[in-house]
Amino acid sequence: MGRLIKQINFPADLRKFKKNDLKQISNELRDELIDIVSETGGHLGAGLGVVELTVALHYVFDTPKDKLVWDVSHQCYPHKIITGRRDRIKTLRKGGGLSGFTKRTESEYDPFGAAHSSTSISSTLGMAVAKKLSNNNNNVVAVIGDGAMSAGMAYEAMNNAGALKSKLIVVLNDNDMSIARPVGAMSNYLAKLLSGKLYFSLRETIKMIISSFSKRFSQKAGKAEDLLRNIVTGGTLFSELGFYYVGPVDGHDVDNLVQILENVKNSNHQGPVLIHVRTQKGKGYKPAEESGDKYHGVSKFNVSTGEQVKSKSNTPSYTKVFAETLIKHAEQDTKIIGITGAMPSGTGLNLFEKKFPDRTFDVGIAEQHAVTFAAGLATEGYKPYAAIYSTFLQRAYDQVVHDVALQSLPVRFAIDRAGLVGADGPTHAGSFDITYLSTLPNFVVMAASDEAELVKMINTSVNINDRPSAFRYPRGNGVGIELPSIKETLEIGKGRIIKEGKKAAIINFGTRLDECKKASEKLFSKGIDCTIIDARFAKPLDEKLIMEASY
Amino acid sequence: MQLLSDRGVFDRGLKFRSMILPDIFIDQDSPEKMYETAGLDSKSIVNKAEETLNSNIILAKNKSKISN
Repeated sequence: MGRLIKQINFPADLRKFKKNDLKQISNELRDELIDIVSETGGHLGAGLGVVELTVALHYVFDTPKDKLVWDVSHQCYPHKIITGRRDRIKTLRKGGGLSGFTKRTESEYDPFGAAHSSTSISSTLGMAVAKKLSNNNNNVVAVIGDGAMSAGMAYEAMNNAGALKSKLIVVLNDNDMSIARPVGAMSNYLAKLLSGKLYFSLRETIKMIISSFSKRFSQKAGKAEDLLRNIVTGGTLFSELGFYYVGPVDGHDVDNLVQILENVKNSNHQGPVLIHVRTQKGKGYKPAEESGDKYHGVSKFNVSTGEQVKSKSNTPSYTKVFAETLIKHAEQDTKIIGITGAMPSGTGLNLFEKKFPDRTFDVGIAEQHAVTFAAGLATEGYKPYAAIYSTFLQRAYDQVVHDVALQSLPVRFAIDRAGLVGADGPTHAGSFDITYLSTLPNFVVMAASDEAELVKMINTSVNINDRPSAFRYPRGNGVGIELPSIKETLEIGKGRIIKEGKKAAIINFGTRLDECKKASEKLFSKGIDCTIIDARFAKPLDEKLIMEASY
Repeated sequence: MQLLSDRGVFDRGLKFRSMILPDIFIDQDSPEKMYETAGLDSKSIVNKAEETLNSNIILAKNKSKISN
């Protein structure tokens, strides 16, 4: 561990250093981060991109009294290292260990839990308003990525913030990446802002901040500065929304960052400020910089080569089975459309996209839009497959209810990561979809107990044209069973008997079937002979089968 | 469960237990461990089945007979 960084356990330790040490501290923090993630696995690229920003923010702001909220917070590992959690950092994402995200119960330096994207401006605005109401002058800072700016919630928050006169600092961490390549018009707009002129000189930037904030400057001088800004950047959407826009700023120049943040912090500006910071995902680690996904999420890896330890599996993942089956159907049925919310590789739709680029839509981190967009496609006779993780579909519940179910539109929901997901923990658990979908009239809700069943459910869904349907399947690999053809469909609302017994019946829904079988064997050895039923459908229920089992 | 109760299955004394995710947020761990915590692994199923078969609930109508 580096000479300086090892002296820093808390931000208060960091603040004892001189400004000209910060560059070295950043470099040492980056090396430490690489070492740690090489052992724990987890999110790396995003953390590497915000090392200097993390150092500068904790140096300038008086955390934890000043509130610092990381959007999504998969970039929070460097923050955790210097906020009192170094001794437990190697327990990241493990049972009983540190969460891979910020978590209120873990540290006072985590004022808001995150993991789902685009919530930071809303939560910090709430904090800023609360501080204003209670005459507390502490600062509130949100750090949000450009990927997260594809979600409507960020705009709802900016719209609200721009109209309120509470002091709020939003750092836009623009690395021109989401988990995958960023999508949408906003991403193009940000790129345009960055390309206008790479960076203002520090002097220019600070002059602009002062001119806007200081009442001592004459109206005229302020206007001249505004003119300069408009010439260079063409004015910005953020300014129109009522934010004071600063930037773009080089996010890897820690000295500049500190000066700019200090100026913003010390200004008397009442209202939201947006600092546009240009960073590079994966910065400072060559294998990450050179890889397509910038080492967004990694398993353990070799630091010198960047080679990741991948656990080999002989069975295909459910995600892959979904993608390959949908591709087979789409080859025959031109109405099939694939939709993802910024998760092309996570949902397997990247494979679909290779075959059918014109029928694949990555709509950004925008599940609400994804669902209603799919509903629109369905009204025109298309067969949209909205491939959304269970945990993220929660974000679009009213769209599922009002736009899809109420109108009985045949949107197909491919619900990946259903059930408990492991290292990502409760923020990503797919715990609720069965409940929240089965309560809706018109819905067909299926859960696959193995990958062959998943294929049959996809086959079945292709022909459900009068109402919405959903099939859920877990993260990870299947059981290694042979896959049926794409012609094998299920009768809607029909379960299956796995095994008949006399004394008790176990009714299963989903991939717990294996555990049911194990349990049944154990019970048999104890003289209890069980029937096992795989319900397949939570809705409509196989009433006949269940009633038979009750006798 | 609603289906069974609507059809009056419990009136004739069917023993029924539902096994679902518990009413807590489960912290990260291996998925196997998380399901163990949730009580949805094979061991929990065995225990639940045995416990249910061995439970001896006296139905209300029988109880009234006993007290008479």
